[in-house]
Amino acid sequence: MKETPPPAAWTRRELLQRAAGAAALAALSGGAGWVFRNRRLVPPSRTLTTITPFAVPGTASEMVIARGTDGAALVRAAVAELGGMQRFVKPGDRVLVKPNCAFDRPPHLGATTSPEVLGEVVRLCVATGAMVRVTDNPINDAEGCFVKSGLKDATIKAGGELWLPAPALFRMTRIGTQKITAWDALATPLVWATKVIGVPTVKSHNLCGASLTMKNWYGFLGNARSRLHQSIHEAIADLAQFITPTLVVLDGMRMLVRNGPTGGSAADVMPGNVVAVGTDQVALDTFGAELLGLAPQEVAYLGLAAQLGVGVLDRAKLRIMKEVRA
Amino acid sequence: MVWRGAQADPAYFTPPADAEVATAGVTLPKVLGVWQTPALEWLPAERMFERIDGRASFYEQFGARGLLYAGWSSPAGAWDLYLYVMNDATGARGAFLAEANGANQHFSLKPHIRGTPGTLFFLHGAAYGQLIAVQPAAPPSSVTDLTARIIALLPAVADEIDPSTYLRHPAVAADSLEYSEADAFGYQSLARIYSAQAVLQEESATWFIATLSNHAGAADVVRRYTEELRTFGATDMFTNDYAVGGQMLGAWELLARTNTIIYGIRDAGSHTALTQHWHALQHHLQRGPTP
Repeated sequence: MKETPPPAAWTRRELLQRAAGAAALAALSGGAGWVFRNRRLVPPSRTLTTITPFAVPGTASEMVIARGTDGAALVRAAVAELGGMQRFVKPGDRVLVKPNCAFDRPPHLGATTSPEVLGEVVRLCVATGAMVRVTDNPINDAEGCFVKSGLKDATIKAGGELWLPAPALFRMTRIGTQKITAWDALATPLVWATKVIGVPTVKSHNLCGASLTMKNWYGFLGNARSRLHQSIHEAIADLAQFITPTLVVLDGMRMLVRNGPTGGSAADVMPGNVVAVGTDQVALDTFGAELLGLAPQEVAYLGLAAQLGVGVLDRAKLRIMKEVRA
Repeated sequence: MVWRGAQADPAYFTPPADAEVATAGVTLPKVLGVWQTPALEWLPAERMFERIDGRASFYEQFGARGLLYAGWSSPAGAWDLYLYVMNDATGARGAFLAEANGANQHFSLKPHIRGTPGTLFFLHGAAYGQLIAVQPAAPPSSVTDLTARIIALLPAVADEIDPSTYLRHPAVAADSLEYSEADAFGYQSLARIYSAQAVLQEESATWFIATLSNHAGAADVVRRYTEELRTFGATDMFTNDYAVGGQMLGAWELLARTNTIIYGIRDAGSHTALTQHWHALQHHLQRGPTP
C-alpha cells in the first residue's frame, strides 16, 4: 500500500510548489465563484431540495367556476362554494401565493394577474390568521414588475408581504420526470411555506398555446430557464409535478387572447369575467384553454399532465364541479 | 496605444467609435423633447428573453437582431418603448403585420402606425416599435410626438418594396404575374394590383396585392370593393375584422387589408379552397417576400 509521506518529509521546494498550487486553486475557485455569482449560475448543491405537496387531504378533485364582473367578489363566491378559505388555510399557516407577475406591464394588458383577484386571495388567507407572502421570479427586475402590474399594491393593501427573489433563495430542486428532473428553483420560499396558492392569469402563449396554472409555476425557476422553451410541453408537465398546490385561483377577468405571453396592446385583451377556483391543475387549465378557444388536444401539455396523473381533462369527472354567479 | 509618454492615452479608455454597432445601428438619447428615460437597455437577440421571455422566439423568427427598451416619462404620462431591430425591413413588416388585428386604430403620422388606447405600434424600415402606456386610458395621440422624434433618429428607410415581390411563393407560377393599373378584375375599386396564379393541394386560385400610401385610402378600397360585391350580386357574403368576400359567378373571392396593404384571393373553387389560399398568402405576407 502506497503511503503519502508526512509533511515533515517534504522539501522546501515541494512545500513552495504545493503552496503555489493551493494559491492558484484558491484564485481559480474564487474567480469561478465571482463568475457564477454574477451570472446567477449557482453551482448545484450535492443534495437536491424536494418540495413536498401542499394539498390539503380531502380537497382533491374540486373546482368552482364563478362568473360576474367583480373579480374580488368572484374569488369570494368561488372559495365560499368550496367551503371557505379556512378549509384550505389554518391559523398559523405560512402561505406562499404565486401570481403571474412575469412582465413589467400594466394590468390592463392582461400579461399579469389582475390585482383585484390577487388582493382578494391574500385578504382571505390573512383573515384565517395565516402569514401570507407573495412571490414570483420575473426575468425583468422583480420589484419593477410587481409595481407596474399593480400586484405590489394589491398585496400590501390586503395585508400580505412581498417576497422578492434573491440569489440566496435559489437551490437545486427536484422538479419532474419528463424534461426537467432538477433545476435551480426558488426553493427557500417553498420550503418556508406550509401552503401554496397559485393565482395565474389566462393568456395566450406563442410557444405552448396557453399560459395558465401549470405554466405559472415556471416563475419558481431561476437560471437560464428560457432553455426550457425548447421542450415546453414536457417542461410544463414537469412543473405540474413539481408543485401540488393547496389551491389555484385561475384569473380570467381580462384575458390576453392574442400575442401572448407579453401582449402589449389592449386590442389583444378581452374581458373574460370569470374566475375558476380548484385543486385540479389539469381541469383548471383545460377550462382556461377553452376560454382562449383552444381544445385540450391543441395544448399538448394538458394531455401529458393528465397522463402523469396530475389531474383530469374532463371536469365532469371531478368530485366537485360547480358554477356560480356573483 | 495604451500609454502616450507618461500619460494614459484617453482614446484607449473611451468606447470605440463603432460602439453603436452594439445596438444594431440604433442610438437614442435619454432626452427627447419633454420626454426622458433613466436608461436605454439594449438586449441582443439571445438576451431578449430577459424582457419578453416566452415571446422572444416570435421576434426571432422575423430576424430580430435585438430589442432596445426604454421607459419614457413626461408631464403627459409614462410610456415604455420596445424597439425591435430586425435584419431587414421585410422582417420588421412581418412582425408588425403578424401582431396586428382588426381592433387597431390607424394614425396618419406615418403609413405604418396603429394603436389602441394605451398602445402605439410603428414600423420604420428594419425597426418595429411598440410604445405601451403605463396608464391604460392614455390616448395614443399623447405619444405621437415622442414617436415622431424616435422615428427621426432611426436609420433612413429604403425605398418601398416592389409589391410584386410579395407574390413570390412556391405555390405561385412565376410566369403568371400580371399588373393592372386600374379596374382590376372588372372592379373599379381595385387599382395598381399585382396578381398571380397559385395552386395549393390541386386547388387553384388567383392571389393579388396592392400597397397604398395611406390608411384612409386602403380603408376606402375595402369599402368600395364591398359595395361592388353587393352590386354585382355576390352571394354568401361574409365580413369580419380581417376580410370581406363572397361567391361571385360560381367562384369564391375575398379582399383583406392590413394597414396600407390590401391583398386577396379570387377564382377559388370552394370556400375551403378560398380559406386555404387566404391563410397561405397571409402567412407568406407576414414573413416577407421570398428573395
